[in-house]
Amino acid sequence: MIPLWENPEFIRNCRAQLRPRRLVLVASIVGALSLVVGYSMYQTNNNGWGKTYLVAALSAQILTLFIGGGVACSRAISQEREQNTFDYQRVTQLTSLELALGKLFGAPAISYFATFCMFPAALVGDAAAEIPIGRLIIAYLILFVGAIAIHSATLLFSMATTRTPGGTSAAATIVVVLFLLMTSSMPQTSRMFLDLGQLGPRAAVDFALSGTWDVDATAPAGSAHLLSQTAWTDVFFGVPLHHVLVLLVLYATFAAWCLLPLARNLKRDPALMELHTPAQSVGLLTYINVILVGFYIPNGPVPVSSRPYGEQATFSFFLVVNLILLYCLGLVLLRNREQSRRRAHQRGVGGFEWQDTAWPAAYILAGAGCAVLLFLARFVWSGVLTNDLDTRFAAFVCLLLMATMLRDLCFLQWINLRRSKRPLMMGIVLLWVFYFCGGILLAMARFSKPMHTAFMAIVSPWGLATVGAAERTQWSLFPGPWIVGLAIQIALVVFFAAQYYKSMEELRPGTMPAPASTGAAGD
Amino acid sequence: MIHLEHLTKEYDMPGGKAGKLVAANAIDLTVPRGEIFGLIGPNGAGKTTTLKMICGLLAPTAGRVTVHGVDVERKPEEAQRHLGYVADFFSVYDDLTVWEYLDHFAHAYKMAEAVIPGRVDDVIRAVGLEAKRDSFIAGLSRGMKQRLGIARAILHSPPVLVLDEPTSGLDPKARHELKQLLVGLNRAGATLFITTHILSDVEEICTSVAILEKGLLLRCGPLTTVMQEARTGRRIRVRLAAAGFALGEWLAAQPGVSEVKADATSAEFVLAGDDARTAELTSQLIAAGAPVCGVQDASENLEALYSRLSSGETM
Repeated sequence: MIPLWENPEFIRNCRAQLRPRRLVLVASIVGALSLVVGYSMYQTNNNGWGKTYLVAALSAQILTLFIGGGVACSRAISQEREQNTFDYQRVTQLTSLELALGKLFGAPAISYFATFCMFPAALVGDAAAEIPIGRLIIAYLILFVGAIAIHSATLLFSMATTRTPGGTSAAATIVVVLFLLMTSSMPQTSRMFLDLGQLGPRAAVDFALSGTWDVDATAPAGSAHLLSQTAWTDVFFGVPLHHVLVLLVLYATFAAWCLLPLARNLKRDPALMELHTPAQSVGLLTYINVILVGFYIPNGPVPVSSRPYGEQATFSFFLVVNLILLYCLGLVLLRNREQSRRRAHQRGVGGFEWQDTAWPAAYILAGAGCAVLLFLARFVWSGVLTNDLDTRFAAFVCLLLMATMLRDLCFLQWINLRRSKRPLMMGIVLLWVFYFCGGILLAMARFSKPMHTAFMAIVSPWGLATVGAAERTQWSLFPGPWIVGLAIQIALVVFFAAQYYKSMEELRPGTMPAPASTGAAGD
Repeated sequence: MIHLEHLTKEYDMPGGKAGKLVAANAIDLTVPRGEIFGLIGPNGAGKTTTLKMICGLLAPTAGRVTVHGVDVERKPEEAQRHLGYVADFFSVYDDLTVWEYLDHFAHAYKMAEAVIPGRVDDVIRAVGLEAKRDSFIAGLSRGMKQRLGIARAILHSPPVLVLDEPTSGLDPKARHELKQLLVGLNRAGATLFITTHILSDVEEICTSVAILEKGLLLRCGPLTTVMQEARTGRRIRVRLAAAGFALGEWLAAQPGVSEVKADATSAEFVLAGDDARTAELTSQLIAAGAPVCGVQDASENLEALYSRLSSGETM
């Protein structure tokens, strides 16, 4: 692979963006702002201005790198498609990964330069506040690795949204990145379920100001498990780790998971884009589950009052998270008309096999299996969950949820083969209309709470994911409605799979007009 | 050099209508080395789709493309090493200079570092852009941008050049220069695959031709063969210096002559046979006392042949 500094796409971006005139302009603006802001802070607060100045400089760098760089990456591919220059890159000898890396580091070149221009301000603030330089270096490490992670995600977004104009991508990126910056910078909320510090780049500022190198975890009274005692300690499978290390690993692996579909699809025909292979999708799901299970705070007396208690909360938490992940995984794996048509031609007139009809059920089941095994290994067999967990009820809820989810995905797969501009979007809207109307009708029927949940499970999987003790009792006493619910879901899965099969049959090559006789040169 | 095997590309009908749009319908063809191959057809015939499948930019619904013996779908990068591609739009990076643009693509084609500066200067010279070497692309004319596109395509000396409507949108002078450039590249050993709807260009520079309509290959082969196959006979026009000779009757009585249309001083007819038969008939006409002042081959050109084929007439 070509080293980054020799990557033609990286060099092209740098050449185009870093013209001397533009560099002088950016440096002058940043320099002037740094001087004015620094001077005004010094005048306002003679003693503590250094810290404030450092925070301002680092925050400005976060915004420049994350928002500015994110927008540049979100337009990097869509803009080239709009300009019709992307096809020329696709026919070069650069691999998809080389092209992706060139864009990843090249597209935000001017943002990196503006960030670089803010270094002197940060150094002045650091010196005035008498903060050790090592902490500032680590803060920048967090900042840059975090920026690469966000840029990878926005670049992936740029590749995947083939029909979205560059302007829309940029606006969506600003909204999403701002939201992520805000929500990921709240240390208390991040420790509600997981023994993991804040995940946002704000951690860089906090580390520069008050970071420590100590790893401090203790076992609370009555518990055999460690819990972090400082903001810079995380506990992973009972092992205390420094938060900076965890953050860097998480950022790096997140970037790698984003680069994987880029490396797989960037030079491909967009109509045949398949973000992950089924195996990679199951791998991603397992990876996220390993993180969740590893950092999950087990029940027991814990210092933070808002932490959850009991096996039911643990079960519900993992159920909801995996339900969301599996839905996303399923949506990514759905095949469009073009992919199905190619498959139909590959299969020829012999027809389809059951794997085609049940797509993507097998991989959803595999992903769910991995998640269940991890959960069982961590919380049940290792004895972390000491209270009684009605395993039969838990297994039934999982089964019902799986059937409901497969019903929805088979429906979406069928709808995705319909002739319309955005069939998947239409399918998702129809699904939510079904959830909404079903919910209203059930509410009007005035069933008792447990019975309502049982019937609601037939309509939408989301209510069932947070079932409590009342439903468990109801299940034990009257399992009838639950069993009926499961049977209906399975019947619907079969029905939608049959509809999908019929739609695929239409795409078979037998329905194509026979080619006229042709002459061929030298053939 | 380029081999299409049962190449098929289907799309959905636009507007959600029933049925499918077949942009390439089981096309089989081979373009031998050293050809200038013209793929002609009206807008929407499937020319650009076929060309993009050759370049590996579009995946076929079925079938296979090989370039220089390499399967384009299985080993796209290896196949693209043998290909230079010029699209039908003038899309270049306006914020780079001519030299920077070519240097970028030379590196993107992974050419040896040592040869890049020399090669970039060579292709700039070959397409006549020496004076614009350090100019920004934004300031170039349409014709210059097209030549720059060709410079990019030939930069890595590919044995096959694939060009989509290369002469459309150019003024007559730029068009002439471009055709000269393409012929020159062919003489230097490149195989050219050109799609166009400007038939005079095809007749002028192409050695082989294929006619595509609605995804179907109607005719394919060397230009002369296609033209000959299309003819049921040779159409000849005879002009007399003066009236008085019963030209129509005389011609109708000759073996191999048909479809005679005559007036007092001229006639047009179809003659079954080659050049020798034409010469023989002319001698006989003069010997019969006709004051012949002109004999002309009035056979249909590619444009007439194409019009006849594309209107659904079978041959």
